[in-house]
Amino acid sequence: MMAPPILEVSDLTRHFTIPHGLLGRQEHIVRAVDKVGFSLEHGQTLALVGESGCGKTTLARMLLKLLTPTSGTVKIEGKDVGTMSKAEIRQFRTNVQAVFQDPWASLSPRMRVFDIVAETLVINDNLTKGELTRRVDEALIAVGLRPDQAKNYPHEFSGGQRQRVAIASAIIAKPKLIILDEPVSALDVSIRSQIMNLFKDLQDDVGCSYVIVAHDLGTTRFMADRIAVMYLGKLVEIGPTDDMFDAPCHPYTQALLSAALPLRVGKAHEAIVLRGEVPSPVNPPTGCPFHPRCQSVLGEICKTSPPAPKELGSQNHIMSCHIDV
Amino acid sequence: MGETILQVKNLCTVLDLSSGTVPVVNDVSFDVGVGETLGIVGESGSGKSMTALSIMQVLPKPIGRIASGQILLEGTDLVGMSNQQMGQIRGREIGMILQDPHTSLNPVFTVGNQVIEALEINNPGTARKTLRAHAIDALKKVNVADAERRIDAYPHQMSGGMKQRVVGAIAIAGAPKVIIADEPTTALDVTIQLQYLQLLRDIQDETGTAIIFITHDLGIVANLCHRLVVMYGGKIVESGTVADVFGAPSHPYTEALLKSVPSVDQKLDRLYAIDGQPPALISDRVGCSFAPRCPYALDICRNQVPQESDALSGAKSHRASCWNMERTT
Repeated sequence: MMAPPILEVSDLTRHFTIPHGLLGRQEHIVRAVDKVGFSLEHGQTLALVGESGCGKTTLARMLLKLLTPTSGTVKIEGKDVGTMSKAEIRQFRTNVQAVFQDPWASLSPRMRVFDIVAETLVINDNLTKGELTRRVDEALIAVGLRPDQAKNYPHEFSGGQRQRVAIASAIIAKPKLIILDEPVSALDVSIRSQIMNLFKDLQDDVGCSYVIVAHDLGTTRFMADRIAVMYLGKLVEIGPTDDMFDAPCHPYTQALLSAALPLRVGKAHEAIVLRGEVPSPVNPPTGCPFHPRCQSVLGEICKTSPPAPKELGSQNHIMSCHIDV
Repeated sequence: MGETILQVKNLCTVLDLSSGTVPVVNDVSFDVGVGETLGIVGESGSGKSMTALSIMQVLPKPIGRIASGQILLEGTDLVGMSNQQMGQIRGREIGMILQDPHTSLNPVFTVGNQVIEALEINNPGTARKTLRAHAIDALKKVNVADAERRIDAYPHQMSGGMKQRVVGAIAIAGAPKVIIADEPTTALDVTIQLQYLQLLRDIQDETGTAIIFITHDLGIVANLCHRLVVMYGGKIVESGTVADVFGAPSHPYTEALLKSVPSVDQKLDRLYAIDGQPPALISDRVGCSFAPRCPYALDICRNQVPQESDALSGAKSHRASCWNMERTT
C-alpha cells in the first residue's frame, strides 16, 4: 500500500458570520473558504495563489489548526486533524510549522534568538542543555547564521536575517510540512533570492513539504511543483506548475498569470486586463463567482449554475469552469 | 521624447542624526521630459524615496535637508524656495502618488471632499457645484465605476485599488506637468496593478505629463518606463534607456538585480543571489558602496569612488559608475 500523502484536504469550508443590521441581530455569512479539496505528496511544494480576500490565508490557518473548519477535513499523513487526541496534537505541532510574512512582527522582541529557535524543542522534547544547544547551533548554521548569534535579540538583525531566524525556529523540530505565508514579500529584492534558495536547499536536505501562499508569480513559479488558484473562497484550478504557466485553462488563471510582468523589453506585453474588482465575499455572484469579470463567459449557464470540478487530461490538473478545453 | 521638464542636478540630501550627518541622496542627477516615464529603481535605503521627497521638499523634519544641488522645473530652481512658493508647485506643477492608499486619504472626509479640495486649490473661487461636477469627471477619468454615487463614499468603504484611483484623481486634479509615483502599486493585487499601470499610461497619453515612477519591481520598469536610473546606497550607479540597461546591464548591481528576479517564463533550479546586506547609512564611506557585495570588486573599488562613464551598450545616454565594467576578475 502506498503511504498516505503528507497533506490531504477534502471539502474544506470555513464560514464567518458578520453581525449586521440594527444591534447586529441579523447575520451575514462570508464563505471565506468553500469546499476546497487537494492533496500534497511528500517533499513537494504547493502554492496557493489568488487576489487578496480569496481565502488563501484562511485556508493556511486551517492547515495549521489555528482555525476550526466549518466542515470538511484536513488530514496530515492520513490522520484527521479535527479528531486528534491531545498527544497527537502535540505531535502535530512539531510536524507542521509555519513561517509568516513579517519578520518584524513574528519574532518576540524580548526573547533571545536561542530561546526563539529552541522553543518548539523545549516544549515538546525533553532534551539536555547540551543537546538543545547543539540542535539550535545546527538549525542556525542550516539557515546561514552563526551559532554565536544565538545570544542576540531580534532587533539586532536585518530583515533577511530575522526571516532566517524564523526559518530556523520552524525547521528545528524537523517538521514534515511547513506553511509559508508570503515568506519573502517583506524582504528586499536582493535578499529574496537568498531566502528562496534557502527554502529549496532545506527541502533537498530534509525532504520536508511546503504549502506556500504567495502573490508574486515569479516566486510561485520558482518554488512550487503544483499551483492552486483560488477565487472568492473557491478552488478554480489546480495543476502542475509548468502546465499552469504554459497552458492555463481557467479564464481566471489565464488573466492572473498574464498579469505577471516579465523582464522583457520591447515586445508589448499582452495581458488580459480584468474588468472591475473582486466582488464582496459577503454577497458573491450567483453561478460561477468569476462570471461578472470573466473574459470568456459563455452565457446564461455561467450566471446560474456553479461549475463542477473536472479533470483535464490527467487527474493532476483539475478546474472548475463550464468552458470545454 | 519631448523637451526636458524637470532636471535634478547634483542633488545631495542629508539627514542630521544624533550620530552625525548622513548623506541619503549623494550627487544624484537625472532629467525627465514631457510625456516620458522615468523609472527610479532601488531597494530600501537606496535613497529613491528620499529623492522624491527632496523634489517635493517634504523631507522629514527637522532632520532632513537638501545640502546642495539644483532641482530645475522648466528652468526654475525649486531648491531654496519658501514653503509658500512650494505650495504653488505641489499639486499644481508636480503631483504625487504614494505607496499606501490606505494611509494617503483622510478617513473622516468623503473621497469627493478630498478630490474637490484638490480642485479648489487649483481653481479658487469656483462654485462648489461646478467643482463637484469636475470631481465626478476626475473620478471617471481614473475609472472609478459609478462615480456619481462613489463620490460620497468614505475611504473605508472602498477597496485598495479604488482608493489608489482616488489618490490618482487627486494627483491629476491640478493637471501637473510631472507626477511622482512612489511604489503606487506595491499594495495592490497583480490584476489591479495591471489596471493601474494602464491608467497611468492613458493619463500620460492624454495629458503628456511626465512620470517619475519609483519602484523595486523591474518587471514594471520593463513594461512601463522609457528610461531608468538604478540607485544603490544613495547614488545612481547606472542610467540609460530601458532597452540599453536591460540589454547590457553594466553595473554589477544592476546585473545581479536582473538575474536574481525569479522568472515567470521558465522554471529555474536556483536563483542568482547577491550575498550580504544592503549598505547601512554611514557618513564616511570610502570606495564604491557595492564593493562589499560585488563579485568583481578590485582593490581600487574599496578605496576610490568610481566615476560615471560610458556603459557597455555604447549608447550615448547609457552611463554607469563602475571601476570594473569589463569584469576582469
